[in-house]
Amino acid sequence: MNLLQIDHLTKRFGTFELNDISVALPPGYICGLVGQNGAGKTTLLHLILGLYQADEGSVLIDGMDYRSEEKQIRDRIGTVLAEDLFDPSMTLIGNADWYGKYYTGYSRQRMERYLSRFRLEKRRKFGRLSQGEKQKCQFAFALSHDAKLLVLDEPAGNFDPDFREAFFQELKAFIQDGTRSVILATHLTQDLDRMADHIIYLENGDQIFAGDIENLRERYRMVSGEAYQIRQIAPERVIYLEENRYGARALVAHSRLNHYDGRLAVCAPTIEELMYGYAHRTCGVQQRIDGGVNGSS
Amino acid sequence: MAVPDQKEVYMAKYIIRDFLCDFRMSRVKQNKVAYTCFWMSFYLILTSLFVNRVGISGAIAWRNVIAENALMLPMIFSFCSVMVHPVQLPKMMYLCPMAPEERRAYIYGSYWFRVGVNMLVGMAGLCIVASYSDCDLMSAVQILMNHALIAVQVSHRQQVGSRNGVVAAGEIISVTALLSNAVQFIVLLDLTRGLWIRGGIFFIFCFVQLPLQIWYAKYIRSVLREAVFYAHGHPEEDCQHALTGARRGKQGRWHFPA
Amino acid sequence: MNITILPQGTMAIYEQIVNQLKNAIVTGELGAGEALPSIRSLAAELGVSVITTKRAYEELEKEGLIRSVAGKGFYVCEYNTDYLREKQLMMLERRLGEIIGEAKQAGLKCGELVEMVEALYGE
Repeated sequence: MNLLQIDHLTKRFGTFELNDISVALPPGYICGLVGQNGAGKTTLLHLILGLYQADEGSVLIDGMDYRSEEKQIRDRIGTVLAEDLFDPSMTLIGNADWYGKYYTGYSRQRMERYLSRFRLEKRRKFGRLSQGEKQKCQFAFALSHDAKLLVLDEPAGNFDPDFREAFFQELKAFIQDGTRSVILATHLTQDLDRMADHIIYLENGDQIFAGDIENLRERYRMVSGEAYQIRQIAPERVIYLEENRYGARALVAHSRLNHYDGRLAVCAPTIEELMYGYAHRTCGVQQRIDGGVNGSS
Repeated sequence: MAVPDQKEVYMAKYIIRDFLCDFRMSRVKQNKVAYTCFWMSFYLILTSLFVNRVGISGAIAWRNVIAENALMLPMIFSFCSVMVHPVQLPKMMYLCPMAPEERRAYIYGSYWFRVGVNMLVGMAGLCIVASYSDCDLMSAVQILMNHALIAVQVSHRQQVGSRNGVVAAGEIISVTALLSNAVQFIVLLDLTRGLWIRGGIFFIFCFVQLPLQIWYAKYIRSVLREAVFYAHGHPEEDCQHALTGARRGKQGRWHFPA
Repeated sequence: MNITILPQGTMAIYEQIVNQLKNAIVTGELGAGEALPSIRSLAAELGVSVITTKRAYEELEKEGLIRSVAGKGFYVCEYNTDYLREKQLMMLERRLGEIIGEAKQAGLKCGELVEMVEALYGE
């Protein structure tokens, strides 16, 4: 059973609309949620966390629905959001104990272990920490109560570079046993290239793609070389073409049957290249990536 | 849902602890209104000392000072408390595993606890007033009622634009209650002219404060109800759509602003 | 056994893994019946996603080089040398194709390329 199952989710907020989102995330994987600012990432995460309720469609966590089993679901979710969730006047360990008492899997030793691993002094007041340290503390808390699903909203942007490495090691260790998953909204797509298993790509409230990363990578190629060579590729396959003095690059749709001029450099696009190309796509390119929703892994 | 007794005891402990925690100076500083009230109370004490000097010698009529402060300070305390104890829980509490019924019990429990504490303070003040001046039952009840009007007020953690009317009504009620009690106090000091003024106070209570309060009470009820769920997720949908300025049209469909 | 990944190479990452594992099997570095690292541990060590290593293993399984045992993991198949040699030659051919392409780009003639090969082969 999928750890996160979203079917045709729609949510309206006045003029903004999150439209027909469908996601299937099995246990044991890291899912990256990407999109420009205002694309609806935070809204989608709030819907997954059960803070908002959908107008249409459903969100199931481990087969459970918020409307009937809210407490069991929340017990298994660890969260780090962009805003401060902890009380600024209490100590780190005080905060953890205060909120941890509601979780069945909370362990104070585990929390202390993570705090020391992240080099945070447990008796400091939460309000006195820097933004990055606050996110580290919340990350420690999310890991300390035996969560099954980690929901993270752009935490790594505040981390210093050597903690970012530790952060990804922690996430990898988290999914190692194959029963737990992570959904991570982020702008740092280089990290996703390295370790994300699934990708959800949103634009303006619409879902461009939701599925596994190899599936996404094999549908596109970044082609660079001489402009005339690139123009020989069928124009309906070209998503985005960029020319400069030294040559041209293009993002093209790819299938196994396609062959390219031997002089062109062809490689799979990074997520950033894909997003950039898609955001600046030429008119007429279809918006939604077909077959992007995978039913099961 | 049957909740075991132990849990109720724990919940009471958390509610009390939450209440006390929220009364920190940092929270008061955060909320501008509460902060103003805090300083206003000092101002009040000082002016009462100043105003109550009797005769040429400048001796202070302590009776009056104590009585006056005992009347006004509890109201200011209540007002601070209303500002500093919002009904909505911090966001993390909505993420913690708690069944809706438990959260409802927590929210309503916190609210009535806060009202109770405010009323206790008010009653203590009233006792002091009664012992230091000639206070009859009618005035006492009046003072207590005004106190109750302030104690039951709510503030919302997030500003809700479309409800400004009701919120303004709440403010009117508070101010009127304060003024009413102040006037009441002057009357208590000097009963001879009292009858007309007391009649006036009673009239305002019945025809201004009470109707406003009835309207405001609905707002209190809805705020409490909505606080059980996080802002935009109220299952009854009215809250959520009202926040975006939508109106319900024919056939129950919602119309959103352009 | 050494596996190196070029994240931005012309070949997809899973293809690089497939090729390097195939090489290891063909040269005997990975013996017949030997257990391969689990999908997850390989992904963790290489710093790639689990989906990528899973895909690589699925490709190798499709080509008949490894097999999965339920609950235990992946093992190298007992192989016959002819089949492997054929595979090895196919791979060589493909690599040569790439080299020839580069040579053409550099403006090298066939004869010059053969000379280069002979010189290097002797070393």
